[in-house]
Amino acid sequence: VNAEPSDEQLLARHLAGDQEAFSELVTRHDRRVYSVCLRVLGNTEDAADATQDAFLALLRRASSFEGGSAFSTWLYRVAVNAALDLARRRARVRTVPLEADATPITLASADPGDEVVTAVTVQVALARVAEEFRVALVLCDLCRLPYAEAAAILDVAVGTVKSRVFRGRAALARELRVLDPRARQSDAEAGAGPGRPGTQSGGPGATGGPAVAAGRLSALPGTAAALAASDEQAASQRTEE
Amino acid sequence: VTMSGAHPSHEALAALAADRNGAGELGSAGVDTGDLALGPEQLARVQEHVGRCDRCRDEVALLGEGAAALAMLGQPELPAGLHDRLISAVREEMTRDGAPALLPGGAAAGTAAAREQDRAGGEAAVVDMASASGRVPRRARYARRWLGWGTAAAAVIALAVAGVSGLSQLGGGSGEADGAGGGMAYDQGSEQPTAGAAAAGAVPRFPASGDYNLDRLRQDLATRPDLRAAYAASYQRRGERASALDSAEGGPPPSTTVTGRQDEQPRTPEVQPHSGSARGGGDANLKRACPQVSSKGAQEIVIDASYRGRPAMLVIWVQGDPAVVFLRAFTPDGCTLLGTEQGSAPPP
Repeated sequence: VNAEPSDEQLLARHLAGDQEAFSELVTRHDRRVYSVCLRVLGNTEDAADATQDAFLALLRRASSFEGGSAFSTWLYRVAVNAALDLARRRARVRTVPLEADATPITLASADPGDEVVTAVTVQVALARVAEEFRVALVLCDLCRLPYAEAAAILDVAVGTVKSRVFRGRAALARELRVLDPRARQSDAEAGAGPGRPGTQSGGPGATGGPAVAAGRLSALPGTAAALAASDEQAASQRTEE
Repeated sequence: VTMSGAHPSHEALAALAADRNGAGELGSAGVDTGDLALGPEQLARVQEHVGRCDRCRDEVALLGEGAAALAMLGQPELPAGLHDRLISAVREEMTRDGAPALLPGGAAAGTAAAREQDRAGGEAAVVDMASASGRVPRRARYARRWLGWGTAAAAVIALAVAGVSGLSQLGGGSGEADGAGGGMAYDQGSEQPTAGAAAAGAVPRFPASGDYNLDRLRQDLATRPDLRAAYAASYQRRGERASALDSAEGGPPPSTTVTGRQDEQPRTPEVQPHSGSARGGGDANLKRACPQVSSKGAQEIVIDASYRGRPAMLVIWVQGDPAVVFLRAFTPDGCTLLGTEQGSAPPP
């Protein structure tokens, strides 16, 4: 039986002098780290740089890992910090047009009506969410970490993480509405739509399921409009700076 | 648990939103229904409140929309080339001077074997890494770094003494001081070059439009006299620093196969927030990228251009015999290594 070595075992091998062990860790986790960095930073170039920073930080601090927490917790913490450090160094979180981005964004939804444009719009909206909320969303809603682990990563209380996640979701939804006010208007005109019986017009039934939400998001304007809004925001940020 | 004052808590509202989204359908959204689960009675109470409270109804809608939107983002694919870049950066970090995490054969820092490994140079060291099995103890690494700083400090003091008594009086000893100081001048993290560096001038920089790489350099050498002159200086002095350092260490002169010292390699800097402006002067950024860039000012060339479509600061130098030209591309702020290239160095 050739069981795969655990991350902790690979790290131990690296510390013992195994030249390939750390490269194996990189191979095993590069996509995960990149994903965190991309969602936090909002553009592929910075995400790639932050991913590199994260692995170099892991390499430099490998001997300080004492096993008090899971390797994955440590990995996520370093990845988040690398992304935030890079964002601060470069002064602002930017978004770049998808046209200049060779990396396709993978959609998790099985709804064939969803388009890449939808995911781009969500990413643009996510980049507008306040940093502390965005990081919590990335860890809990995208990386699907338990609140307790996210709390350990961020070194805050579990309740704080929950609060940030809830406020982050609401903030994200607001940003999406800003990106597509027409969707909000049509939503109101459509009333409860296929929501649950007994709900009021424009009430919670309007978000009766992911398919409904996906339908609304699919109605968002195309990439150009979303990115134009993003560019306006970036220009505004630059002006403020 | 479910009520916060007159309204349900955010947690209760999020649980209701998750319930309305459908826990099974929304699995990919990562909604932790275990943490958010409401009992039937609690759920009914929250639903009843939401049915008559516009504020909470809107909150539930927002929470549901946000969670559903996030469910549409999957894990992105790794950009082409990033994995190789990561592996390359990690290996370079392992071999760079000052913090060589690993050296082959269990060679401890400061030993003759370690010095020999240093002399093997950057690219050769990377190749050797494949068969290496030893690791430098952390304590030894830092002892070595302090030894380097101590040597640099001694060199600075020696230069100061020379300033008092006259440089000419140093005679043969000046080579030793210059050698150590030349290689270590920026090791101390100083933003100010040493006296020797100041006397020699700054590292020559050239702006260029568009993407840059070694092929482009070879083309430009034929058309840009200023660049060709700087390259010629680098080419002619390619063995100077290795000889001086070797002399300073009391070892034998470099063999014909020496391709340069490891500590001449620009390194990926520590991941730390910059002191001062992140968009500071070009020289500060250069030193951030390459703390050990030549203090003599003529062994490296800096091209301000782009690399693989990204704005970049490219550090180029020639080393060894036969001559090899090295290129290291950094982000303009000097924070991130974007890529490396090397190839045979054409005579100027």
